[in-house]
Amino acid sequence: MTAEVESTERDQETLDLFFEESSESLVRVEQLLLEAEGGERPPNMMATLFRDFHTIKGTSGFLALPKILHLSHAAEDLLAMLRDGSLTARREHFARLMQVVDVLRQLMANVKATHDEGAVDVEVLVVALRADLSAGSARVSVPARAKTDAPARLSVPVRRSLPAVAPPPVLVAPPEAAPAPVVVPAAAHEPPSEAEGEHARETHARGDAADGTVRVNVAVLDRLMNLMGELVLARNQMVQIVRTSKDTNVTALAASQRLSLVTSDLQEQIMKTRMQPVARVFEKIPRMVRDLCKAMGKQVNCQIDGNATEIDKALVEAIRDPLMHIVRNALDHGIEMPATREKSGKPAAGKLSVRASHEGGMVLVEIEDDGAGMDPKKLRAHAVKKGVLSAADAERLTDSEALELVFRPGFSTAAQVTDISGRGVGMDVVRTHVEKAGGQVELDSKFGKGTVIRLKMPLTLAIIPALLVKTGGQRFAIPQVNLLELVYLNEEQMKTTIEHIRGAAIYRLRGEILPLVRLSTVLGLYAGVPVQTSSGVNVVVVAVGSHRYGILIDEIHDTEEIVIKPLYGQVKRLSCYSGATVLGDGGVALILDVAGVAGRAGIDTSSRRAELASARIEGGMEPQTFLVFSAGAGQQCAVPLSMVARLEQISSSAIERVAGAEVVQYRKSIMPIVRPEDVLPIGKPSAGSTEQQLIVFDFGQPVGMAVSAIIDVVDVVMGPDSAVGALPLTFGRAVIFGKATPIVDVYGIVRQLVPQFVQERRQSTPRSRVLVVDDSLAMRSAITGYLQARGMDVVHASNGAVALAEIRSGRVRIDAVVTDLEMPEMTGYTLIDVVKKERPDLPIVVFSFMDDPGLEHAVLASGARAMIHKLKREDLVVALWAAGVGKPVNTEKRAA
Amino acid sequence: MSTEKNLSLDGKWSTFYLAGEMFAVPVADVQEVLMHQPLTPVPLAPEHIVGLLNLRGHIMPAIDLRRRLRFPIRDASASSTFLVLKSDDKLFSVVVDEIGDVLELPGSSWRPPPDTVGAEHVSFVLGICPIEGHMVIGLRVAALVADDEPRTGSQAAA
Repeated sequence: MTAEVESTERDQETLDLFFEESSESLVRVEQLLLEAEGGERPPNMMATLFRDFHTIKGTSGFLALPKILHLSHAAEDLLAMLRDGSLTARREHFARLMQVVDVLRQLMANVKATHDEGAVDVEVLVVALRADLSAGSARVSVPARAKTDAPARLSVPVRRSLPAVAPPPVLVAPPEAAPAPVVVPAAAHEPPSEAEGEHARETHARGDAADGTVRVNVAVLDRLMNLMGELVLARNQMVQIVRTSKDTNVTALAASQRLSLVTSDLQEQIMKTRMQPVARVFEKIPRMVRDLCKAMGKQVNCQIDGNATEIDKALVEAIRDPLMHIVRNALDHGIEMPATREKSGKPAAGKLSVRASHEGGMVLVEIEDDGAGMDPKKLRAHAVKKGVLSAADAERLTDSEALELVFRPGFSTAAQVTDISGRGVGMDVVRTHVEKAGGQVELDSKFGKGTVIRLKMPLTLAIIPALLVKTGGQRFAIPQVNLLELVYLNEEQMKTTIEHIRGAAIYRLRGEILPLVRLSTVLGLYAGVPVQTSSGVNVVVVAVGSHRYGILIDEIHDTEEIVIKPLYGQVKRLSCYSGATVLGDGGVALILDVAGVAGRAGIDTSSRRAELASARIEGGMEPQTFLVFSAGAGQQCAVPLSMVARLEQISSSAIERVAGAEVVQYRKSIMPIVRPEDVLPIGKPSAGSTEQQLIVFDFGQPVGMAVSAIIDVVDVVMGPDSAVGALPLTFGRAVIFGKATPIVDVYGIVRQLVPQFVQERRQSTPRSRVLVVDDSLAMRSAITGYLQARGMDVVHASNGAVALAEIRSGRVRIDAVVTDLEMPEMTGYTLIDVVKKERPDLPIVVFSFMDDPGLEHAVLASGARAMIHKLKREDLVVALWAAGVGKPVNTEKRAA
Repeated sequence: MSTEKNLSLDGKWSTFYLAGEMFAVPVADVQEVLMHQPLTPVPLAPEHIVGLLNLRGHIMPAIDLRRRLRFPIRDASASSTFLVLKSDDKLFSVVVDEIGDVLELPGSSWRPPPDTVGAEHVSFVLGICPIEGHMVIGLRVAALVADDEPRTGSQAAA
């Protein structure tokens, strides 16, 4: 064989270039083929595909790669006929070409690894391609002009576009619908016609981008990044020296400031050189989804957003495998078979959405499906079966803790180990990979509804934001990604919130029980020396995945951008540290690995978790009180009790109709009556009785809501909701007495049903409108009801991002913002920052469970008007009044 | 682990003192010599890791050679010197009592380590070389800085 000789003759550099170029063009080809399969066929698509295969053919011939040559040649022939219109494109053709792409990739991988194309049989595929060709030519009997080597120079008929009357999607355009062929120059020299303009521009843009770039060895970028890190440190030191120097030299000061600015800019730019769009990983997803769907007989619509989101190159690699695994899981275990879906009232085609976005200096990748979700009961049973937990311990887990079980090593939930996922590698590997890259994984699943998995990744590996703390006289850095909140407890609070269970300290944070770890003890910093007792303690609440715990430390310092320096030698294996960093004063701080610290402290073991679970009081949040009632055709609904003024039972005959609206004489005035079934899809009540139950709300004036029956008053603890599937005019749904119960937006209903009532009120006293931002459905509806009852209009948002969109949209005037701090997607802190920049006049009040003077100070410094504890809702109104919002102009009559 | 590219003993040696005895490492392995350096202690680290040293932004472990070689511990007040060594492209600093001269020691003058060298030291010692009534002990840099302790249970589990 001459293979060996040839391989030595192949210049490695040329080969590398060929691989790189070909893999890029195969990605492009694949995308076009996918689009084509879906029925989307831009006019010059065949020409583009032809060119890509033609290039691969040419180069492989040059590099003496016979199989690649043979196969790409056959594909090129087919495409030439498709392009010329001598063969009509059919689905099978695209499927065939997709196979060609796969085999070409395989061949290239083989050459890359072994310098040989390997034992891949391309003949079968070539024969199949040829068969396609002859079938085509037999039918259409147009000579195939494919085999010419320079087809781009020839003028060939090109189908410009389908006429509007042609059925747009998928299969063959019937011959009679085909337009008269328009002779235009072939692909490469085509002037962009109107129909092709957009596509041509796109191709052009790609071309330009390619011209403006230089390929740089990653090692050079790595080196640059390291040097940058050192420059940042030198800058920090320089700035500090100049600042603290006694004889202040103005020139030196100016120079150091300029150095500082330039360094920051340089840092940003160098980071940019390493940034890549997540599209590098995302673009593989549609193909994978298609293939898996075919293999499993499922239907899935795949929606990908945020392709342009950029992240450090190393991290693009780091998320690749986890992401693919999650997508595979979603298709395999998540999305059901079409028949099953239809039975449970879902569309036959499942939905898979993959999104990337920037969020607070991190990149958030979300993978969401509308499949079967995870059943906490099954997870518990499975854990017991696998011997991960005892039955008693499993029972004690909350549902969200049960979801966490999937991250346990070896835990696989597939009913049968399928070819697609399973195989013992599961979410535990995903978590390990993501955490190794400094990221976090979160999982949220609703049984029957679907699953969403969030990967939170740092933007770059080398420089991260971190909190500096001091304990035992030594400084440590805690990565921001692990931080949840900082709490200061004075002596009194320590007594009430810190308890000891079997010798282990725990801390009650808003009803949630957190294990507490004293850092100095874990690290053995006070060997032999008694722990100094100060009047209070600082608790840093951190998260490892969804496990949380508190670290007790002596002092909290600043948040800083730190440059991670790896540890090596005999310090590397200390699991408590993930690296070290140089601080502004030249000192060194160790970076804590919060998972390692937890492991060292012996927390997070399953027995401890179960123990804590048993000690848990009612979930993680303050319960809210709801009035539960039935309306319409017996639908169970609820309203926050705080909104309800009174319950009344009146005679049905007392209800009068005035100008099409129902009213009743009530305490010497006319009270409008609304019926929720008029606006909510809850069915109509059966024949009316002689008595009518009313719930009376006070919006400055009373309004009655006619309901069938009052059921009960209950306390409900609700986590952050997903507004997905919430009915209009509701705040979402809560499960009460085992039933999905809509929480009714009374004010919204009133506004819709008796607009004149609201308008009248507007005229008499212009109502202020407050934007309430809270991730808890319960909290949101409670605040809304409370503020509405005090004469304010309310719009609400489930997090900072939604709120910001609302403010920016200008849809309605907003007079003030009431926001929580800790929320998914965008926190209150970020919201304050952005709003203060964009709308400095808009007053913001923070309404939070956090009770920390330091935090309050920070929040006020960032521009909030006030920070009010959630248990003191009267103070909220006072704070809003103080900001000139919602203060009643005339004395408002308030019912008792 | 200790893959020495060149086992030849021929060449220039950088000498230093520990508890009155003279040691040497190949000059090629020495990057620089530093005086008083602030160290950041590493809690939970092995005893001979006396901290982390920041050399122009490069953070490296500092190894006390007296502790590493199980010599009597140096007086707190006694002066010490840092030798920055390079092993496997990584920098380490070792703490010694005092730095000596650079000596040209021909390969022929080296002897294998005598049998009296204890088992715990044998991996560190490359050979010995008698000069002018002294005995110079040549050390293997890679062995000095290697992570040779077995992982403890808690560390491995984490």
